[in-house]
Amino acid sequence: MYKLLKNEHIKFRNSYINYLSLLAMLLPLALSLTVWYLRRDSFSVRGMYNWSGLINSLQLFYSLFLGAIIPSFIAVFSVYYEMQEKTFKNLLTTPYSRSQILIAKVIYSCTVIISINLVIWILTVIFGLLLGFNSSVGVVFNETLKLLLPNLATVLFVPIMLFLTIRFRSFLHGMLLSTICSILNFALLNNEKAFLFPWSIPSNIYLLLDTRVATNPLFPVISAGIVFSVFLVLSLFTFRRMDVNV
Amino acid sequence: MYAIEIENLSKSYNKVKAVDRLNMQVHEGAVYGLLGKNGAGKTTTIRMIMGLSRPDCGDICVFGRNIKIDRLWALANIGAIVETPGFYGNLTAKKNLEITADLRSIDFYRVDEVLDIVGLTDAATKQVKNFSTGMKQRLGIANALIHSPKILILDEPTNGLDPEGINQLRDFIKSLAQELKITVVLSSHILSEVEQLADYIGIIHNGTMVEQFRISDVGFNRQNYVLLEVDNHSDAIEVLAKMQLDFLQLDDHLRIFCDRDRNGQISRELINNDITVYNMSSIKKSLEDKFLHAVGHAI
Repeated sequence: MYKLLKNEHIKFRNSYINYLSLLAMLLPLALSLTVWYLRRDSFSVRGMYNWSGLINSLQLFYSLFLGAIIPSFIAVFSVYYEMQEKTFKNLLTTPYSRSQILIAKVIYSCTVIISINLVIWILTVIFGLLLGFNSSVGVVFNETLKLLLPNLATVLFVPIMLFLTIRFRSFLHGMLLSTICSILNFALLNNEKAFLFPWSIPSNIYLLLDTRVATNPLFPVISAGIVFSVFLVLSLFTFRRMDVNV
Repeated sequence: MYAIEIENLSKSYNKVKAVDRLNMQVHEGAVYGLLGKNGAGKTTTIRMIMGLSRPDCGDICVFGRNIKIDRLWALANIGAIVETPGFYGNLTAKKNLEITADLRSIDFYRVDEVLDIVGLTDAATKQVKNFSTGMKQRLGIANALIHSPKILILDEPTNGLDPEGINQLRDFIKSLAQELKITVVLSSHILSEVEQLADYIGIIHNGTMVEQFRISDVGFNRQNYVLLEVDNHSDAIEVLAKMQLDFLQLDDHLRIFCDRDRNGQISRELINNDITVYNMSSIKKSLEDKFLHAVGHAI
């Protein structure tokens, strides 16, 4: 498994995908920080010049949109890249089982998504402190956790996207579904059962941490776990039975 | 024990049988030519040997071990190019091979060795996206050889190669079988290509193995028939009948089926009977005849 993971890294280290994903995730942060810096006086008057204000604005980008699109893109590409380059047959003729190969892709995609979000989180903390927000460890940790935890929950899209890409052998199905469902997520924002819809789980976690919804905190976590497990099993089943022409 | 033994292998796509109860035996250390028209089922069979497609039914054994049970063991002993070889275009040739070497727990020095074998040492640090089809094909062979497999499967290996490349590949395959004692399975629809390389040939048609034979047993260098053009067909027929020869009368010539050592006797008898011989040619048995005969019977 270690060798499969190592080679996943070699393959994608030299591709533009992961850098592009990181760049896309950094853009809202850069934009927000610039706005916060330029309009700090106005925001101070309105009581928004603090961690809460910054995290709220960042979550508009992440939980509601990019948070689903970018992880989906990373997961879809980890399989689609092999199809595009016709390298799946090389991989499948090495002495590893199909399950090991797919699980390596799941772990690698999740690691990339987690790493990108940790980078975003660390940069947010650094720039928040530079902007002069409350530097008490407790406050910084509690507030920025509202950014980190929902973003980390986006790893649940990995098995969904892998399943769709393997099933339809296409880039489009997964990305299209992710985009449509991210838009649908807006309609479910304040719905108390929103955690049942996978694309609403990150924003539901954020709202929970922000104590703006009165849902049992375990519900979105359980829901994310179920979605992740079900689609992982479906992906493995489909992949094990798939005839590889690429 | 056979290197590869296939029994009653079948595979359908949307109710169309791509492979139908196929049987095949590949002897260890031999070059086996899998011959068939496009769409005959060659690639589907290779896919199933490599575990890229699931058979509907049937068994594939590699050195006596069923791949349903020992798939990973079989894959560790087989190297293959299935259709066009695929590589990560943004990586160099060397890096691509290092990925395969690492996944198969092979030391990286072997990468340089196989690059040298296929003559790609100078292009080792070049990105694969800049490779020509022939270079990719050679890199595919290097990739298939990296773990020193006991069996090498090459699906239409000369596709996209220029005549010089085809020649080089032919010599290379011969050397693999002769010097390294690797069992080679070679699929092709080009008769001459298979004829020059293979020790054994399997003719596949409509997904079924219609004939399997050893080239040396068929005797392609022996005479198949004598083509005869004369001024007087009826007199010639009379002479041939008297000689108790098996022959076929066609529009403008006669085909006499006999051994080469009777050719002199035939020409003497014809001349003794005042028959003018315009043309008398010895036609050897060819793989083409054999192939058309086998495929014709299958139809």
